[in-house]
Amino acid sequence: MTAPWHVSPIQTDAYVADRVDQVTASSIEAHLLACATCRDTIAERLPVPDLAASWARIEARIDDAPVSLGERLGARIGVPSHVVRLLAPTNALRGHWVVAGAAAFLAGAALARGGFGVSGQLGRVIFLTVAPLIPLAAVSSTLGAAPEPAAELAQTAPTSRLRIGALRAGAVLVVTIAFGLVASTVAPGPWIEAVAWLCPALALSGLAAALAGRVGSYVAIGAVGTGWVSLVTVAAIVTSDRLAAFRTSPQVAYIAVAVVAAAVVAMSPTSYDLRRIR
Amino acid sequence: MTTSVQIRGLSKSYRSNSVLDGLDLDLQPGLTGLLGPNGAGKTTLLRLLATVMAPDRGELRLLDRDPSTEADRVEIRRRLGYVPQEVGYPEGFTAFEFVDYMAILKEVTDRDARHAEVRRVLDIVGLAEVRHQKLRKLSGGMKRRVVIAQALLGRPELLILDEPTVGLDPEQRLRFREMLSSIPANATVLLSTHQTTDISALCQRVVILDAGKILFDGSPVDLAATAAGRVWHAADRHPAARVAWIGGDGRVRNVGDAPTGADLAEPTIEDAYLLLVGAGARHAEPAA
Repeated sequence: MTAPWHVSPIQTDAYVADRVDQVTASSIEAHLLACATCRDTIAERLPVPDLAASWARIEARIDDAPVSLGERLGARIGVPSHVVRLLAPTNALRGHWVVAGAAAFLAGAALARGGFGVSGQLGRVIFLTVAPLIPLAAVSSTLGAAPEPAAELAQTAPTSRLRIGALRAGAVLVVTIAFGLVASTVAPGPWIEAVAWLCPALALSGLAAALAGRVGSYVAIGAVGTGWVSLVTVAAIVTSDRLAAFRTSPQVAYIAVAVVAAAVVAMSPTSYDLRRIR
Repeated sequence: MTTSVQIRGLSKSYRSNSVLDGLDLDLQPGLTGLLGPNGAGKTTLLRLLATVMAPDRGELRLLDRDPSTEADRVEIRRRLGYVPQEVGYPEGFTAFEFVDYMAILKEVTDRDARHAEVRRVLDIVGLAEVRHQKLRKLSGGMKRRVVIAQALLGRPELLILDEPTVGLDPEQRLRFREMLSSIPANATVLLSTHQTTDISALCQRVVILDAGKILFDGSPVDLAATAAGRVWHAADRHPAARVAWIGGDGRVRNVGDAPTGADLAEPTIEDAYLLLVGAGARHAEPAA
């Protein structure tokens, strides 16, 4: 079909410059549907969009978008994207680990309340003894080659293994301790007594990290865990006080152990190179 | 010419099993192929060069630095690209996330610059279209290309490739060759492979390793020349042939000590390799 009229040069200039009113624009666009001549005229005057650049920007937007829940949460609280991605392979921050850790804390707290047929004081001792082992297990899971995807590739990268380990260990400590503190509110007795596991947790985690650089993560967690249970048992037998290992003086010692262990870790970064640690 | 890799008296053992025994080798910029039968010590050598592990004895200098010291090792790793023989893939990651993760480990923390570099290397290996697919959904060849992509991050000066073409189809192998050809001339590339055709197509130099020692070090042309007069065609397998097979033309290609009057054929580096490695040749895979 041939259009009875054509868009004038003045109308074309105005349309291309977006200076026409709505009614005129609609009229011109209706005409363009039927008139190939005017379509060509106006198409020549319109700026050619840089499709390659537009496409590149779209791709970049897609690539830059945080994909996982962790990344979205991290981005929301201001954690840099590269830090979130370094944390992504950390098993102890994944759902099954978090649920298991929370369940262990809650079971311990239930024991402390006299649940499962266990007497109250024995339940409290069990809770306080087991609770530090949960952060210890979580921190140990961040050490060595096991938690590293494509470990052989990762160990040829320049980023310090100590830095990555510290980042992951710090994150899992924060998460597990947060769950532990929540569970402690369920435990009976004064709150300060219910969180008497906190300093031992820091000491055991630090000690395991310090030892892992020398004997490997599996031996470290085994030795520290066994040592802790033995210490609680022996202290209870020697003093006839089931909570002896959780009184004020030992708490000061645990803080000292945690500080010394952190210093040992910081002073021996090469011990955490994956070509030495397994 | 600059020596990028200097090896003197390098030895490595696993318990009582000696894998490398007093190895001496220098590598300069350019592409060097590494051939050898299974168990020859190729992967061990490459892992030592990639700073995965330390030698028991001997001197090793990479990019004019000493990998036994922490500071030098970090600097070497900044300028190194590595494709190991086997990689445990983080299956939950997409191709983009994995290469991005490796870029972070290579200290590229600026997100825009990092993502641009990740897109660049994934484009080189032809995976731009599938970069947001989970690794577990990619084929073996695609995963291999993801690993090659991460090795190209930051345009490394030293590129260590341990059988990078395993799992690649013929077209992907040709694209891999094209990619290697585009690597700047100042980069040093060591390519370990069983594919002798890759060596002859790409490498200026070839090193043959067997039982932890260097059997040959020279150009592919010189390697092929070592088999001159020892490859011939015949109607049947000759008793003097060390290896023989029927070619596409129906004639038997014999490799060994040729009898007088034999119909000599142009030797390839595969023939030379078979002759040099001797009994170990039965373990080597023929070129595709």
